[in-house]
Amino acid sequence: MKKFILIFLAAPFLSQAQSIPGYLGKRQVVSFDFNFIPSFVVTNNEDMTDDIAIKMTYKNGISYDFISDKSWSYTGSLDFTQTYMEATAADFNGYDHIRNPKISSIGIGAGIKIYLQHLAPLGSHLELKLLYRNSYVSDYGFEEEIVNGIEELNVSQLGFGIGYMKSRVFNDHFVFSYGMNLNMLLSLSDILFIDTAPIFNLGSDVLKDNIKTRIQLKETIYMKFSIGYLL
Amino acid sequence: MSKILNLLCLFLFSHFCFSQDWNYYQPIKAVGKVPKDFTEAYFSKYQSEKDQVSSELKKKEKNRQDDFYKSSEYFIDQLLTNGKVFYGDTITNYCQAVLNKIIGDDDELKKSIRVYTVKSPLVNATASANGIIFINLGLIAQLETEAQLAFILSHELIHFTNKHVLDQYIEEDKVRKGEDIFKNKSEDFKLDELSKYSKNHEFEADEDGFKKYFEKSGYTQRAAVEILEILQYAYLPFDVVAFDKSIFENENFIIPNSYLLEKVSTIKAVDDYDDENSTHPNLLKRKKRLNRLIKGNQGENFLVSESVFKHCQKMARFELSRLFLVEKNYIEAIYNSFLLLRNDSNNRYLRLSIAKALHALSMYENEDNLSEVLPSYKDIEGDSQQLYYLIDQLGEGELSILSLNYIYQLKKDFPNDKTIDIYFNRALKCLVFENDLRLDDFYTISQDSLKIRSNDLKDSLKVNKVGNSKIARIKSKKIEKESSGSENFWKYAFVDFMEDDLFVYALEDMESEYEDYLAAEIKPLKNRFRLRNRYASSRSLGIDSILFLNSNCLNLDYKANDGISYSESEENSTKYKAYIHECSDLVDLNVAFIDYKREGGIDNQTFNNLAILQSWVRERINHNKQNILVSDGEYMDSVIDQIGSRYISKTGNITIKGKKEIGVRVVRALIFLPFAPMIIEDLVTPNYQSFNYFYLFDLKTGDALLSEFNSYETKDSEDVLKSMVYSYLIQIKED
Repeated sequence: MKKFILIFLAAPFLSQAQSIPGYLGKRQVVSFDFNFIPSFVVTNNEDMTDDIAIKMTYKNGISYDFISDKSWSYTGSLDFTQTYMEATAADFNGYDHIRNPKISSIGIGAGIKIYLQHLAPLGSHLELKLLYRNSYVSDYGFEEEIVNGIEELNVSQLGFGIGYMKSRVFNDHFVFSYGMNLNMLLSLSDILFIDTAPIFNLGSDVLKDNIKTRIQLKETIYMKFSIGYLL
Repeated sequence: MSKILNLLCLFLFSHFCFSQDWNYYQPIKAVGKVPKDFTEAYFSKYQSEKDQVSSELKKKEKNRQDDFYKSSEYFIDQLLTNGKVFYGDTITNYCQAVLNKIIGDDDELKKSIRVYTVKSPLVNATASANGIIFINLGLIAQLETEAQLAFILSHELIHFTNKHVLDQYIEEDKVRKGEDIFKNKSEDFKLDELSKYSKNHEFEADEDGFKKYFEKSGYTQRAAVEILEILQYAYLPFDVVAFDKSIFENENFIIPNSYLLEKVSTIKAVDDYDDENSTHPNLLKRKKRLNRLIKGNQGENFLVSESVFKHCQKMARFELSRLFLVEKNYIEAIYNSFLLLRNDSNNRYLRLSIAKALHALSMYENEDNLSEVLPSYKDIEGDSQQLYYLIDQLGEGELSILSLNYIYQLKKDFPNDKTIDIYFNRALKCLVFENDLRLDDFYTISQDSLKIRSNDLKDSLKVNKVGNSKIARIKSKKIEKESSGSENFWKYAFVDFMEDDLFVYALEDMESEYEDYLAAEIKPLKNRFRLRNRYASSRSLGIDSILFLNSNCLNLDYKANDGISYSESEENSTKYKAYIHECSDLVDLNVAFIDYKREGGIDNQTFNNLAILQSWVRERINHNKQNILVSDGEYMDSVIDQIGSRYISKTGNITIKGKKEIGVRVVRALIFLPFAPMIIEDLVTPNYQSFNYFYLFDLKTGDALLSEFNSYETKDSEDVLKSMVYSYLIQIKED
């Protein structure tokens, strides 16, 4: 396994010995990614009403690609997003004045892109990624005296993502991509069977589950646009 | 004035007649300043034709004629720049002189029409709308008199003066669009009408050509009908003579008669064939009409020069041997050379042509691809069928043996010939590496000596009183079988050469090379060739400079009138060259282009180099992965010296814009909402299918250093093309 990981990590550097074209010799792409999807349930907004209406959920991020072969590149990404807990779930333990705690989330991804038709980084490609996502309640909405002394509510999740994208290069430097992504997240504690201590006396698991559900729902599917620069 | 010109032409002809060394026959070359027809840009030619369209025409007719010139000029330009069309050579000049003869004093017509010869074995001539008559060498090779050529030129002149090509295009366009009489008519009706229209043009060209030009020129009028008889048998070689297998044999190497057909198939061509859907009327109908015009047997067979005609005919026939090789028609190359060898039995060029054909056939056989270059003998008529049958009957390895035997005999007759040496080495390698045959596999003594030895052995067995033993009987039968020679005729192939140190040492050297090869535990060459991927990605060739042979883009569009987007093709070809330049700068590779379209034109030497290079590259590409010597290889050394590079590349792009099924995509967009961006993009962009190819060859060795063929379903946009071009060039440059 160790060997495999080493080879995987070293591959981009080993492959430099061959004639890897990249795009006109440029093999690195730094991109700004904008992911969005019209959603009924999970949005970035605080305005959580029971009305069924399509609202936009989105997340922004940056990514870095290293082209290691004619039809293969390594990719790493970092993104930021936020959402809110469901009001009903947060309304517990007698604190009925709680207002939708805000969840902030940072995602890190690493994976590969397989170019199906053209030479990397052009044309349609599949993206396969391993994901790590850390989500926490950045704003509980409690009054200050209640927040003091409460341990931070933090959830880590592992997952994988698959995407199908198309890319074009303009002006020999700018890479414009669009497509869609599907992500599946699993709770790290579920995977590693870690028995976390309750943060609240009551209902902390419920809160955590709520965070997981919200994040998973938010992460499940995205349309993606990205604009990158070839280095 | 025309008489002076004719005399000048004759002087030139006689000069060339004496300068040709038939043993070292050189492919026909263009002579003199390159005409504008070859070097002028397509758009410029189209524009000048377009300007001649009458402004009084209705818009619809005007557009139709515009479309015609757009298409016609494009195809003529493609033909002129494919390396097969020649100017100023002996044959072209001779045809031009005959054309001048029949045109007479019409200087206006003389100015507007010119003749070029085409290096094609097809028996054909054609006239273009812009006044070019193309005469194929295949036709010249079959003609018997100058008068026959004069009638063909008269016929083609009428096609030009009466604008038949334009008329036919307009009629076809009406059919395509269902206009006039074709409105709401069945496909059968349309085809029938088009066929009639075209046939009427042919009758008109025959009859008007006869009356307006041919009759008045002084040639024998019977020639008009004679040429139709020549056309009737045009699918046969220029002569029909029983094939003599002895050209492959020597004293001890005799091919058994069982390898020959008892009777070849009869020639079935008739002149009264069904021409219902044909563009040309059948030959009998044409003959009947012409016979009505012929007024007797007066006239001459030759008015310009009989000797020059014979010289041109001989040149055309010699050139055919080469053209058949280039086009991989190996049996036709052998039969054509065989026919010519009857008058010049030791001609080096003709014998080498046969050697080249045998080498190629044996290589194809070794790769189990013989059927690719050997048509079924059952489809062949006449005496050449015997040769098709013979090659078909030769068993595994026998073709390689036959090839080596023939080439070594040739080498003995021309011991210092470099080209023959190359073929000899290849034939040896083919025998040892591909067929695993060694010196020990062949008899060293003749069949007669073997018989004597057999009898001696029988006698000795009797003398020693062991003649009735089992072992003696086995030995005796074995020797008897071997000495009969019918089964193992190939074992005697090299008996004549066994005393020849050069042959024996060369074969032994090749064997030891093979042993070393095997000892190195490398798989036999046959398998290695299959396993090794010459076309693998990421090759590093370490080459500093290459030459590009006219690189073209072709854009096809289903919406375009005849399927081709001419202006886009032209523009993209220019852009593609610019991308090559840009990418070559990035990888620091020196590139140069050799093509017809250059500001200020090109010189004659460049023209001839272009022609031979195009022929070489075409043949090399046709061989695909087969490691066969390119038949024009012997002419490459001087070309390399002149162009200054041994590496030649051919690249281009073809994009087809197709029809799109919108409905299906809209439904898909609604069902798969997350895919919407891609589906929307898919909806707004047309359907494309594109192909990009890139070849790099070493002209010295004939090796394919790089060969890539990429198919993709997007437009040939700048980023896509640049990306591919860069990937090719980086592989060429990097060590």
